[in-house]
Formats: sequence, structure tokens, C-alpha cells
Amino acid sequence: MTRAPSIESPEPAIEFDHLCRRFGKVNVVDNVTFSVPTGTTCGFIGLNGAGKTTTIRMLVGLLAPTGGQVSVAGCQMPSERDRAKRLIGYVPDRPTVYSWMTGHQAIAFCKAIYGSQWDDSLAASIARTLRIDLTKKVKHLSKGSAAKLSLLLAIGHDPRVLILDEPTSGFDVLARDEFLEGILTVNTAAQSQGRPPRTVLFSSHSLGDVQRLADSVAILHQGKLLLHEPIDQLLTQTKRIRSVMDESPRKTIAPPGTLRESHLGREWTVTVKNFSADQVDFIRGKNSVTQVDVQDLTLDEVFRDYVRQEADAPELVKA
Amino acid sequence: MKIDADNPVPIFQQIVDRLTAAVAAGIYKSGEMVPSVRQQAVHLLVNPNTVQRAYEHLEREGVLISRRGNGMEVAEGAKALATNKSIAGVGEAFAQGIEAGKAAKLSRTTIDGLYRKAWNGHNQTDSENPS
Repeated sequence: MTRAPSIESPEPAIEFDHLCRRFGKVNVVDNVTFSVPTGTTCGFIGLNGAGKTTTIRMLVGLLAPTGGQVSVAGCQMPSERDRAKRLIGYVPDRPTVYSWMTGHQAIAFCKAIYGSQWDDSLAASIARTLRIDLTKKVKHLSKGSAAKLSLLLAIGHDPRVLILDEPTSGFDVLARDEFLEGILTVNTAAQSQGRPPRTVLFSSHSLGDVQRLADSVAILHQGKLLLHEPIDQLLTQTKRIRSVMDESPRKTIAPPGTLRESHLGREWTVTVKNFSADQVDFIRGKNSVTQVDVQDLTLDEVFRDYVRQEADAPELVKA
Repeated sequence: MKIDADNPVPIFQQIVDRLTAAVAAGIYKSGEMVPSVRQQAVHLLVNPNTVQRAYEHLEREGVLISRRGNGMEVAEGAKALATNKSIAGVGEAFAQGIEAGKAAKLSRTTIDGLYRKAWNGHNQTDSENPS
């Protein structure tokens, strides 16, 4: 039985190395370093304007970095963009399929770009599996079907790395389910046919989708990488410790690893990373609290606390 | 089987818990194949690596066993194992409920009453929606 690829695997398919992009005086992407191992899926999240699309545009070679390096499938970008084109598939945030074309015409158009690398049988099987009507013009397809067609066009040449920029943005729940099913079907089908597992990086505002699809999550905030961790590890090691104080707190002493704290009446809430019982003991030992309980967090809550921590940063002594 | 992506419990753990409960309930019997990683991933709309890790975890726990060739089946004696795990899980959930009740300084009678009310409500829902 094949083992699930680990995010500690030594062979990255995507590598960001001190990547920077400056527009005028603004560092839109600021010293980003992380890598995505082959065969894993990375969810790339951040608020609007965090720099996700700019990072992705550098990753696919559409924009040159102003500092650092980025490579994908062993190709340095943007200098080796032509070689990389055959190895990567890209679905941009605004798919650029000509609306007057039918699905068949759009496929013929892409096939002309990729030449002999285009896999007709793969494309036909994807169209069948994803139930895309290729006789319809793109402008007459539903949002979900148009997105599935974009996915087909991005992977008809069987790329090793798939990059998606907010693929389900603006979808209703059914279109979203269809698209997720599409990605999973296409990727798992490739694996069951003995092809190596595809590496995927996708940006999204839907943290539910990230939790479903990703092995690891990378959080970008104001151009900086706040973290890149396996999702399960992040969820099991980030906790909220809620304490009730004896009296209205004059001063509280937060434990090492505190991300963020807040007070409401006699309630004191601390979000911590790398959770351990020592942090609870610390709170009990250094503060006069009557009751302490530990709560699990959803990915959405973890994301909010990491991003808010940055906003509150000067007030917190971080360990 | 359903996955809640807005739940703080990691999806990996949700799959482990749901499959254990399904084995305890006899939905999957010893010697029966469970859905393949690929089928399960597409059905639940989750990453196949996550399903794979959940299956490997259940294999280490002795609930599943990999069948030569491909796929996983329910191990011999898995039902008793899964039932014990389910009992422990339900016990833990009750303990948490009681702790929350005690934190709110509720009496044992009130907590007992809440348990009975929840049980009756649940049974009513079951009889209204036989499935």
C-alpha cells in the first residue's frame, strides 16, 4: 500500500525562497519562504490584498520577482517558464476561456499550444467524469461547468503540478461540490492509473474547502508568511484556554506560545500555539483563576487568531 | 458517513471516529471491504491523503487490515475493539457534558434531567425519520 506523502518529504515540487515583489514602495510579497512537497496539496490563505495572487503569478512565471527565487517542478521562474509550461497546470482567478468558443473548440485551442503532449484520452475521460457538455458555448455554461472546463484545459496535458487561484470563489454550494469532486476525481484517477501523485497549490477564502482538500496550510498576511504547517498538526496544537478570574483582572500573565489574548469581564481567553498542559499549569500558577477550560478551534478561528495576532502584535509579549 | 469541514476536529480524526462507529454498529463486518481510498475521498469530498492516513491509523489500531492486492477490509475481532472505542468516546463526551454542567453549578438532578430530555428527543427524531 502506498503511504500518504508527508509534508516533511525532502522533494519539494514548489519552492519559494525569500521571494519578494515590490510595486513602487509597497512590498506586496515580502520575503516568503516555504516549500510544497511532491504529491501534497497546499491551501494558500489570506485576507484580500494579502499578496496571494501576486505570489501565484510569480509561481507560474507571469510576473518576475523583485527579490528571492521561486521554482516549480524543478524550473526556475520566470526564466524557465517555457519548460515549466509543460509541467504545470494553472487555473487563474478569472478563467480566460473565450466565451464564444464551444468546449470542443477550447480544447482544440489548448491542444494546439501543447502539441503532442496533449492527452486526448485523458481530456475525454475528464470531460466524461466531470459531465461537461463540450458542445455548448462557454458563455452558455453554468459557473460550475465553466470552472470544470477551465480545470480540464489546465490538466489535459497531464501536468505534475496544479495551481488554482480561488477556484470556487463566487460558486453556489452545488457548483462548489461539483468542482471539488472534479479535482478529487481527476487527481485520484491519475494515481490509480499508476501516475505519480500531482502536487496542488490553491488559494481560497473558503477555509472549509482548505480543510477538506489540503494536507498543509500556508497563511499569508500583508505579504508575509505567518505559517506553513500540516492542517492536522495546526488544529491539534492550537487551542483556546478560557479562564475565569477571581476578580476583574488587573494584570494577567500569558503563557509562552500565546498568540492572542482577550478579556471580557472576569473571563480571560488566550489562544496558544504548540499547546501543552504546561501552558494550563502556567496560567493556574501565575494568575488567580478559579476555572480553566481548553477549547478546540476550527481552521477559521485559527486563521482569525493568527491574523489578529499580527494586528495586536505590539501589545503582546510573544514567546 | 458525513464530514463536517467547519468542525474543530481534524478531518482525519472524523474519518477514524465515523468508521470506528460504523464497524461497532455492524455496518461494516469483519472480512468486508471498506470503500477504497479513492471512492471514500470523492464521496466525502476530502483529500485522498487524509483518507489514506485515517485508514493507516485504523490499521495500526487493528480495526482494518490491508488485503493483498489492494484495499482494506475489516479485521477479525474489530467489532469488539470498535465497540470499546465507541464506549470510551461516548463516556468522554458525557464527562465533558457533566463538567460543563458542574462549571455552571447545575445540580445532579438537573444534569440527569438534561440527559433524559436529550435521550427522549433523540429517540423521537429516530422514530420520525426511520433511516
